[in-house]
Amino acid sequence: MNYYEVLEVAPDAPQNEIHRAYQRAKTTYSQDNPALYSMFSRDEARELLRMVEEAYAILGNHALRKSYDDTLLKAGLHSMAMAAPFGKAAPMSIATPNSPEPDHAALPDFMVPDPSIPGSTDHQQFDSPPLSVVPAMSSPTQPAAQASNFNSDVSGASAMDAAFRREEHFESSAAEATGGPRPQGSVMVAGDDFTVRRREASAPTAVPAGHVKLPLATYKVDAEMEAKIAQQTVYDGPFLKMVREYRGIPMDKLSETSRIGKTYLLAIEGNDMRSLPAPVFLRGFLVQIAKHLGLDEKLVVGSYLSMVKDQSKK
Amino acid sequence: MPNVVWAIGGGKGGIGKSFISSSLAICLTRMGKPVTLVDLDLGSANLHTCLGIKIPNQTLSDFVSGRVTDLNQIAANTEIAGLKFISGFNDALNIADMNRNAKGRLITALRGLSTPYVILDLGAGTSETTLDFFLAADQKIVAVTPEPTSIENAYRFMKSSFYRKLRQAESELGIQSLIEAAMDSRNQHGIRSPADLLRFIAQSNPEAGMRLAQKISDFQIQVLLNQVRTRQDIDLGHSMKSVCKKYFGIEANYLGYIDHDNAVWQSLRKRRPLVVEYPYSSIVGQFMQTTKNLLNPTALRAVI
Repeated sequence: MNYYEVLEVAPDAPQNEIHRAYQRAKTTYSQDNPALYSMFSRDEARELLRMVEEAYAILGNHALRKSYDDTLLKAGLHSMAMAAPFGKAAPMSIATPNSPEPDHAALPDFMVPDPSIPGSTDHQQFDSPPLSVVPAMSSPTQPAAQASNFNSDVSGASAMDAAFRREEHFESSAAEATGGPRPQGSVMVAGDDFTVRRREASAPTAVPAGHVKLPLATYKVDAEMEAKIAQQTVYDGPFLKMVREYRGIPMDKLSETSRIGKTYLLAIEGNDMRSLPAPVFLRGFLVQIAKHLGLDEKLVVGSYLSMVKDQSKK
Repeated sequence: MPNVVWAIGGGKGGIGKSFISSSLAICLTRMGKPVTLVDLDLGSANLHTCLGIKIPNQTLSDFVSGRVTDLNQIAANTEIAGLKFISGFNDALNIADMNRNAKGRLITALRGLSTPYVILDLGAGTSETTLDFFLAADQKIVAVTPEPTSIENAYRFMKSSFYRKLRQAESELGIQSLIEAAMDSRNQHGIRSPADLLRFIAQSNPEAGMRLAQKISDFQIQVLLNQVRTRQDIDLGHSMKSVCKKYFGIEANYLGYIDHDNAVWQSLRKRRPLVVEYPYSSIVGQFMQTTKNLLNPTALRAVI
């Protein structure tokens, strides 16, 4: 049962829902609740309550929840469902977010890939080191102690790891900003956690030769265009639009994934100063756009914002 | 077009099953949907008293014994427009006396009733016949009051119907004895709840487990809390939903709650249905809302 199943919330539930679910679960499994009568013994209720507290300790915290989500995704379990029932034997097997399809309900572990077997998860698709937190896929007999280990791991090592990866990225982007060489055919991609990682174009398996896969689209590499993008210093609206079209990302898709309204996307791409969002939002939007287009976010944000500043002075 | 059948059960007696059935039925007629209300509390039928009508001349025993072949003939009109009523047994026959053949015939006939909605008022207890009527319904409503006795019996009722459903699914799939085998050795496999059982079956026989899970996926219980007095009582519905999920591994719905209200016994003593006698009371509003939730499951959400 994963933490989302413990709290009985959807994996994409907003924080307030998680909080409410936690309070509800706490009431439900506290001692002397008549709803437990004849179903769960006192010990079982105590165990359930402990799981609820443990789940909320992770899901109630933004950063910890994020790294926990990553481990779930990494384990490749996000698309599968399993009605993991309560039982002392299997308190903490990390399974899947709940799926509404009844067909998949009550499917047991046999569909879940084993992370200890190389190739069963998509870890090695990324050349960046996998999170130090290996998903605690416990067999039904594994003691719950591992789960508490897992907590401390998330809070400590993983947060540091994430910070480290970010720094690494900034160094490399700084190198590029100063005119450092850009390896042919490489591209910045937005990973599942939106931490920009470097991935060689040859690494992915399912992408045809001469193509590069972005999270939103796969496009054919055009050396002339790549050179143009590499040399570009002014990232204005029309240029962003050009890159987006070159990389084959429809505006609808970009809007849907980045959660930026289409009006704002149009305004940004059209250099429409009067329709732009407030600067504080604009900065965030530009970061999102840059990530989705596989551009360097620092360059894009810096260049675009200074352009906006110049324009507003006139 | 076959009609939609709602069944109201709950295990314990005196928790308001007949009252809830009659109120939901009248609410449906108020929304312009004709209903047949069937008293399946065989042996101690008293739904007619809730409705404030006389016992019709013909009852279910006429159908079961074969004196009447068309169930529609037994359905008596009532004073309430759109509401038909089929009375339970009023002679010596008991629900346990109904043989399998008659039960099957009755379930088929209930589906063939002329009204688009049929509401079954089930009796207390967990006899096989009661469970079969409950499982045959489209909406399986479990009534419960916030007393430990009622809660215990409601869970008992859910467990019994769940196992009966499992057995039905098993015999349909031709995979008998899996449950027996698992239950024989449940202690060494750590099987303590239906969820554990399903999991064990799926592990030992993945294909059968998958088909079984599919077969019982339509088993969804609607929990209706009756005689609610405090805020804690209301939360009980959420708790029961969660316990069902963790214990059975199935989704239960918290359908809603009905307040404890003096108007109920007052209307009962007058032998007039509450919905007719006090149409503007808050409790009737709660029944209306419950009916709407049942009619439109996609818009279903728990009341806070």
